[in-house]
Amino acid sequence: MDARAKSVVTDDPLWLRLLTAAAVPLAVLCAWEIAARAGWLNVYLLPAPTAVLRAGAELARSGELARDVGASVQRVLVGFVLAIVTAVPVAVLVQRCRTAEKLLRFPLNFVRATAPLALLPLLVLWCGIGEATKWAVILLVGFFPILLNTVAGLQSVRPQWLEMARTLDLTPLERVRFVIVPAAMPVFVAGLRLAFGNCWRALVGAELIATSVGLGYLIMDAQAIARTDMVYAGILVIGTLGFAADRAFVRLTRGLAGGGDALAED
Amino acid sequence: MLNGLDLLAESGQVHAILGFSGCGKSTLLRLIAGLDTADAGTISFGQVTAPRIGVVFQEPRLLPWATLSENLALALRRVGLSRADQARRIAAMLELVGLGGCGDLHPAELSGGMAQRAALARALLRNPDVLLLDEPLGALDPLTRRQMQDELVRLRAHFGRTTLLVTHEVAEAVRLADRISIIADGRIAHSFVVRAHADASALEAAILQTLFAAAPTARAA
Repeated sequence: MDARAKSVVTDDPLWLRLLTAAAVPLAVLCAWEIAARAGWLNVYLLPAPTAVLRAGAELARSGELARDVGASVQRVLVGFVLAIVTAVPVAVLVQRCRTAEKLLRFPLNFVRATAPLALLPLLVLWCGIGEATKWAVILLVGFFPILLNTVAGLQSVRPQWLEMARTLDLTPLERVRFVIVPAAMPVFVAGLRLAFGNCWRALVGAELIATSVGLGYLIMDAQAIARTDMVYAGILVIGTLGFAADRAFVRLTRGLAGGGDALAED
Repeated sequence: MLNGLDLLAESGQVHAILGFSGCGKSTLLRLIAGLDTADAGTISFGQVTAPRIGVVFQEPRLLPWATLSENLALALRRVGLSRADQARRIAAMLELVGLGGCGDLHPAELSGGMAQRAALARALLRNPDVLLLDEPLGALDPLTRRQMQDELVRLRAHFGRTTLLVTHEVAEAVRLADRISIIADGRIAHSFVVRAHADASALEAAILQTLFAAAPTARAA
C-alpha cells in the first residue's frame, strides 16, 4: 500500500516536479523584476525581487536576521510545546470521562470560537508585555487542533482491538503502547501539523506587542523605517520557514503512519 | 441471557456449541475469556487456577499498522523469551498454520482466510490451556470456510487441552468436534457425542431436529 501511495507522487521525475512547482512563481518574479527595473512599478510599494534579496542578504550579514529567526523559532516552539502538554491531557480526559466531556464541551467551544488576537489585550493585562503573552497567543492557536485531533485519534481506537489485547493479557501500559498510541498516531500527527502551521502564522500577531526582536518585529520595524524591501525579505523568511516546517511534518506523518490506512481494514 | 447453564468441557476435546442467534453462545465464550462478568455462577478450569486462554473471534482483529510477526509477538509478551527465540517461535507457528514466510506482510495484504489463520496462530502461540473459537470461520466465503475446516482438523493436535467452538453450522460442528451441545433458553438443551466413523449425516439430522425443536418458536411467530 505504501508503494501505491508513493507511485502517485513519483510519477514524474524530480526535476520535472520541481520545475512544475516553481514555474508560476518564477514567471511572476521575472515579470515583477522587469517591471520594477523598467520603472513601471512604485518600487517603494513593490521593490524588485533582487532588491528584496539584497535586503535579506544585508539582514543576514548584520546578524539581525539570525537573531530574529532564533527568537521567533524559540517562541513558536515554546508555545507549541505548551499547547501539546495542555491539549493532550485535556483530550485524554474528555475522551475517557463522559462527565468531563459534557462539562467542558461548551467552554472549550466558546474559547475556540474566540479569536486569540481578540484576547490579546486581556493577555497583556494578565501576562504583561514579556514573553509569556507571546507564548500564550501561540498556545491558544495551537491548542484546539491538537485537542480535537487527539480526541479523534483516540476515537479511532477500535474496541475490538482493545478486547483482543485483553485476551492476550497485555497490561494497561502495553495496551497504550501497542494499541492505543499507534492507532491514534496518524490523526494526532495531522493535528500537530495543523497546530504548528497555526502557531507559526500567529507568530507575527504575537510579536506585534512590545518586542524588540523576532520576525514579526523585523517586519514592523522595517515598515516604520520605510524599508519595504526588508518587509518583503522578512515575509519571505517567515513563509520559507513555515513551508519547511510543514514539509518536515509531512515526512514525520509518513514515517509514523506506517499503517497509514489504519482505519481501512479489520 | 444464560441461566442455569451447566457445561462440562472434557480436557483434550473439542466441544462445539450450537444454537440460534442470540441464544448466548458468544456470551458464554466471553464469560470464559474474562471479557464479560457473570451476575452469578462459576467457571473453573480443573486444577488450573490461572489458565492461559486463547481466543479467536469472528474477525481476525489484527492490528493493521503492524506486520504479522509484530501482531503475533503480542501473544508472547507474557512469556519472556529472547528476541531470537520469539522470532523462531513466531516463524514456526506461521509455518504451522500455512503462512510460512508471511511474517513481514501487513494485515491488509492478507485474504480473509489468511487473516483468520494468523488470528489462530496468535491464539495458539500462547500455548493455551483453553482455546475459544467464536465463530472463527463465520465471516469467510463458503469455499474458504471449507478449506479452513480441513485446516482446523489438521491442526487439532495443536489446539491445547480443551477447545470450545461456537458455530452456526451443524456440519462444521460434526466435522470438528468430539462433543456438541445445543444451547436454548439459556441452558444446555442437549448434548451429542461425535463418534469416529459414525454416520455424520445421520448425526447432523438428529442435531438439526433437536435444534429446531428447541427453537424460540414463541418469538419467531
